[in-house]
Amino acid sequence: MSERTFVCRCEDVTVSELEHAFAAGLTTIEEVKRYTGFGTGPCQGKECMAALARELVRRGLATPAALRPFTARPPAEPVSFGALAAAPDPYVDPLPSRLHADPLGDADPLADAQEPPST
Amino acid sequence: MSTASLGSRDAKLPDELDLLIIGGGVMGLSIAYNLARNHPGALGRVAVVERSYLVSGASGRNGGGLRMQWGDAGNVALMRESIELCRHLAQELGINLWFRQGGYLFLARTESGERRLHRNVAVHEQVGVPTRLLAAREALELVPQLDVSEVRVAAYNPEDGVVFPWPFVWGYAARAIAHGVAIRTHTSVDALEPDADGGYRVTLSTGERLRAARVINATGAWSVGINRGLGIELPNHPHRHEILSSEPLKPFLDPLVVDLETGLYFSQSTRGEIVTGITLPDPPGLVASHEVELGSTLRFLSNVSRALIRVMPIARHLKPLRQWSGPYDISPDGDAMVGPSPDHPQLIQVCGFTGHGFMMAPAVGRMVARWLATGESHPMLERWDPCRFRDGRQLRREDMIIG
Amino acid sequence: MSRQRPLLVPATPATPERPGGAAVHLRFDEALIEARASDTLATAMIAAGVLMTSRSPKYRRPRGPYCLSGDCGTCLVRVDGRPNVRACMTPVREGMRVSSQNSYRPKQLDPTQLVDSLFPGGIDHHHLMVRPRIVNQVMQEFARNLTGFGELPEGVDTCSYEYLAHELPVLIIGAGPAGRAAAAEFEAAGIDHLIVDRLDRAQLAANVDATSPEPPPHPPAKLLANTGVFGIYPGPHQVFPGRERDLALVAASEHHATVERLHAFRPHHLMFCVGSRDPMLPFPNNDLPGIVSARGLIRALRRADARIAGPCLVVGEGPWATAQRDALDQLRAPHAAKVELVSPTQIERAIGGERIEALICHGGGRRSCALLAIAEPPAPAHELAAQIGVALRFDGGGFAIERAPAPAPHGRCGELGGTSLWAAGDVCVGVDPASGQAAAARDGARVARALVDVLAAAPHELRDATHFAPASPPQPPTLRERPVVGDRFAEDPP
Repeated sequence: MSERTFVCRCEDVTVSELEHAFAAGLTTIEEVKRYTGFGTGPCQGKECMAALARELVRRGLATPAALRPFTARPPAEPVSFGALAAAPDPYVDPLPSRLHADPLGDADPLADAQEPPST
Repeated sequence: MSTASLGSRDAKLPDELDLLIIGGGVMGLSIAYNLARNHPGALGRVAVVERSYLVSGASGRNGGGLRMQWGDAGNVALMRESIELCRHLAQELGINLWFRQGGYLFLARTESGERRLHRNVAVHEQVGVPTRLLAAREALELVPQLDVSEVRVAAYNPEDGVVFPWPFVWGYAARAIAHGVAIRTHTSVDALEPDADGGYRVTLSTGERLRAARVINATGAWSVGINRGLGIELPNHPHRHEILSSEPLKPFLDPLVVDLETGLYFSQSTRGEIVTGITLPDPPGLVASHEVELGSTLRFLSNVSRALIRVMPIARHLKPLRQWSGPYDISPDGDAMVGPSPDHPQLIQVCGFTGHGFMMAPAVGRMVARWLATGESHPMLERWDPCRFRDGRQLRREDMIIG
Repeated sequence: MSRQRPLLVPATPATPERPGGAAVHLRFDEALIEARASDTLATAMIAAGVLMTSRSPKYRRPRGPYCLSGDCGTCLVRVDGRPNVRACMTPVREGMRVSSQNSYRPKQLDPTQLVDSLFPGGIDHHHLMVRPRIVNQVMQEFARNLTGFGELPEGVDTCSYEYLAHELPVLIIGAGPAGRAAAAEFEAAGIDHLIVDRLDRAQLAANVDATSPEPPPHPPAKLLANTGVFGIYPGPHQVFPGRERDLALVAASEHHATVERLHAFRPHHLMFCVGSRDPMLPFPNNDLPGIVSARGLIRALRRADARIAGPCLVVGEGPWATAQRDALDQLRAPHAAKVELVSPTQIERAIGGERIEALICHGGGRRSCALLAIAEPPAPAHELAAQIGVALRFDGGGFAIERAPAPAPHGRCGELGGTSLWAAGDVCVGVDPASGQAAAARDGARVARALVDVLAAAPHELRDATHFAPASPPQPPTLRERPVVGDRFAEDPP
């Protein structure tokens, strides 16, 4: 077995691959993600993001104040297409629930898809 | 890998440019690369300025499909050329593009869709593209997971395909830089002022001031802002489109499948993810904006799931991995805007590709570079003239717009 | 039966009072594994010494469970025909058929494992075998077959799907110490609320540290377990002028064996009590099966009522690592070797094959282990808050939610449309090894009291609003089938 140090195990991104990206001038988490594929596997960065952030700071490539995580994209937890397909489209279907006092008022234009909202 | 091969926020820009390309997306970089490679020296100093990092915009957010199956002969021929270029582009650019010709499979479930596909196939035949009509049963042989009970007819071109979009951008950038093009990232153009001699004075977000004899606006959905700053009114506007990729699965899906009736498309990437999106009408009453708006919705997830399960029922047990959005740069007639701007002959538009710029970029980059370097035109360039709206020459409408 | 020596053993024998110890049999690839009813799939596999769940997509290296908390991506297995199921989040069931993914069997003879040896210097997938074209095409086809996880589902039992919409005054995400303490405050104040957590009730109970000086309150009354919030979206009306105060849409999926329920919550106040995650520590061969997160292992052992039977080391330094080592040592079987702490700076590399065998330390020392528990300081679970642009700051460990300074109420971290956002616990203040879970619980209670004050000053209707869900019990599932858009190709182009 070869000796490898992983930062992202989902996509097999090693420290030496990160170093290639750093050498190419990519020192934001977003850019490193795009170039190495880091954080794009099943964990979506939950395991690896902090490790990369710590690495960038440790190497002096980024200051803590300037560090940002890469864009967080849903879904953060597993959900099947089957369950998602069960959600109605709010622009076609009436809202399924109301508070006692609807903060939107009584005239909910989107209950009827044909009517544009009054502004 | 040298430090500058993906562009840099420190790349040095000359004070005097022969050509400034605004926008480091696939379109701007394809033009820069083709100019530098095919017409060395023709335009002198060329630079690309990108407001963020490479692949930050629509070039990094699209589904990576390339198809010849258009409704209009001009687009069919253009895409045949683009796909032909893609076959050897990885070797030319020295980077893996993960180009795979698995075909596009269009499914028609209504009578009008069926007529549409028949008409398309006749057009494709004239151009010499091997699209053929398939019975539902034949579509099922191509993709055994489909539910074809509603399918009346399908159209299949085995030469259509998919790519991984990002390395196109990096590959064009790296080769353009190797040929002497300066690529500056994380820098936007703050002001563009016409000069007395027809060129432009350019102010960058870094405070730098340059002069450019010619400027290309290749900023896609962001082009409206630059044009308005100069008083150029073109009818393109940004439109948010959503897309998702699923959990990675072992390869099972060769073609990219399109459901004509819903505008659903789905394909499988090299990494095994199902990449899918859908045509989603705007909420009724929504006011169109000229600003690029991104963001994801549950509405997209539920609609795309419904449509996907309807066409491929096994999908109900699968899971999305992430969803994101990108801007289409919508042109009212579905045709791009490429060429000198109204009243601004030295400001070249390369925009309005209506969500299909990525697949056209290899051919468009070559065509525009040739035109810039030699003046040689092309039938599509005449058709894409940005002045056509002002002059009332809006002739055709391409409607095979997917997603 | 697996021929490996067990790594975990039951803490107590099965009794009628503790049925969690009853035997359950499942098949993992060729091995028959005897587990306990209290096990998750991950603890059952670890107990049996079967640690490898898959091969990695690029280097084809063996991978196994790491975080044991539902965060990492490497315990995914195929369960009863369903791909990519998290072993650490799946309770065992009698007769379960489990298989490893992305590997050829028998695992020892998988030819693709050669990739790791053939490319000792790494694979630059952007520039690998680009030329000539024919080689490139062969390489691409090869790569396509090695990546991808899991085959399509097959013979999956009928699963039904349901949809439920709720509008409610307060929604708490996360039933850890902060969330529970907050729920207790709302309960006391009579404010209708709901607390959701992706974990099941058994795991939530196990996560409570009974040795903590101030143990957090009991499971809250209004708990929706097995429910993972996956997305927070602007309210669907927020795109319209005059509707900017539309409530946020919090989407969650509630998982059960045969039903998955999609919840769309529209809370007036949303509280992030999502806690923290256990990051990986970079060192050579840190991907070997058997390398797990220390906190995840502690929680998994408590849940499964199991004890460590094999040699186990903890990697880390500082009070956090010491606390994890101490907790793990409490959870070892009487005959097992003492759990010892190793500093990360001592590690040269890990060695092993399908599972870790030892740590090689600088200077040549070899320390055998079957489990290596990583005790890195946790990183805040910022992802959900980041989806909607809540301010974050890098706190040295990860990205923590930045709460608004005073005079804003304690815990406020922004708003999305008409929904105010709040945060408490690890996700903003980080973990405190000294006080255990008490610090997070105190913070949760303090934020909840601030929110109660805000509600007291709110208009009457809102304060008295109660949680409303329309259909109970939910209607049988329907997959809504209707055209999403009209026939847009009906007319010929002009």
